[in-house]
Amino acid sequence: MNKLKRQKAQAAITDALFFLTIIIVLTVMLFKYSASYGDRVDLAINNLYFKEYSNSALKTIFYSEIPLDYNKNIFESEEIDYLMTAVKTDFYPDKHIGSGDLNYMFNPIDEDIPNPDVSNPDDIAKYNLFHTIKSVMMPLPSYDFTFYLYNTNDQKFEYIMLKITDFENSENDSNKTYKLNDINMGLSKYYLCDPLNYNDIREVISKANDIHASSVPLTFTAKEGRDETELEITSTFAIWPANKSIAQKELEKLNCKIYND
Amino acid sequence: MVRLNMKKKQKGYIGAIGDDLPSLIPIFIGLLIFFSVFLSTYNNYKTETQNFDLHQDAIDISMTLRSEPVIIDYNHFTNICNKVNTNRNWTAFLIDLPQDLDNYNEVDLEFLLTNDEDNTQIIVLDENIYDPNSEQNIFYCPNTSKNLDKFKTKVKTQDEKHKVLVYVYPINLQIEYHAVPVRLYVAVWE
Repeated sequence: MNKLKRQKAQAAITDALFFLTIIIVLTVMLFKYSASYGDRVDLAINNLYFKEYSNSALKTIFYSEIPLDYNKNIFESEEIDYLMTAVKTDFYPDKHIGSGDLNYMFNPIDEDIPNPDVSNPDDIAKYNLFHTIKSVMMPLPSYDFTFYLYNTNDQKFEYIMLKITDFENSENDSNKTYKLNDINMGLSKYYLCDPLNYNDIREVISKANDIHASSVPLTFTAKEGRDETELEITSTFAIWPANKSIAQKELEKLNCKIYND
Repeated sequence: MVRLNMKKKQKGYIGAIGDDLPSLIPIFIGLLIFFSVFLSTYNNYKTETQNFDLHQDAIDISMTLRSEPVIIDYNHFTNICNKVNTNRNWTAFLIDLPQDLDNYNEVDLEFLLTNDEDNTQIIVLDENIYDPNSEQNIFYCPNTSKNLDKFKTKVKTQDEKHKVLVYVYPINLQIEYHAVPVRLYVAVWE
């Protein structure tokens, strides 16, 4: 008993050390929470903004108007229409957008008088869709994107466009027409693709991080013989920060052709 | 001899509180560490929450401004601006979005300051489309000279903690009879 009494101070210091241990554990937890809170807030802010941006881009694409003649300047054009209406009109007779393959596009406004070898009036909608999408993404040069129209009835793509920043060949190609992206020092390259199936594109795009996407269901009408059929087309716009995760060779899987005019 | 033994047993004993004194040191250190980290966490939380609120308000303002898919004309733009209900300082303006990459200018706050003393000369639409002498060539709101002055001053005096937040979105503007894409800038600050 006397011995215990004599060791009273030792018991007190042991309690204090336990208390200190608990405090340190609590402090570490608090510190961890504090450090990750900023990241979580940044992530939430980014998600909010880029989600809104992709919504806005999709809306802008749908409500833009385009010239329907060979005039490059919409303000001098005599015939105009909404871009999506022009795309739907193009789709109607042959269930196909444009005159050639999915990954091919003529330049309909290459010359004052269209030359059938290099330009084709059937590609006006496709050409304008390509350039409008390119234009609405210009304020975000450090972001890559894809826009596609996917036919859910026939399980195939009707249009697919990609922008990938090329970090590998930036030095070799910088003297060419590709625009050097000052922010991340890569070359912005624009493609039209013709993937075999949906999984191919999903496989490539899923390599990018922080994807922000926006989709809108559309109804396209197509002529089949004497009948008309209504098709469900999903329009999707997805953006992600440009990085090296999608290599140029990945695009071969998607049958992509570059268009940097 | 007995007295001498008693003194030996009480060696180091300096009273009831004195006996617990060494144990008080870790307790004080623990409390000091805890409250320092707690305060720093609280300050960080407060700053981040304020930052988030500012971003949230900027997004709310821009959502109101983008509520209509096409801005038909200057009056329509002003009417939409009037629908914005916030206590924050803010301004919004439209700038061209050319389809031609060669004519594209990156417009950020640095560009606004370094290229022009008077921002109104930057915040204009294409002079080939709109009459450059017309007031309606400049789409910005709230359309008060004080607001634009406040914005310019704030841009010049902003620091790390009190930044001007700028968001840009594509939007359609109807010019004459054509709806074309333009850039909508929304700037918000404390």
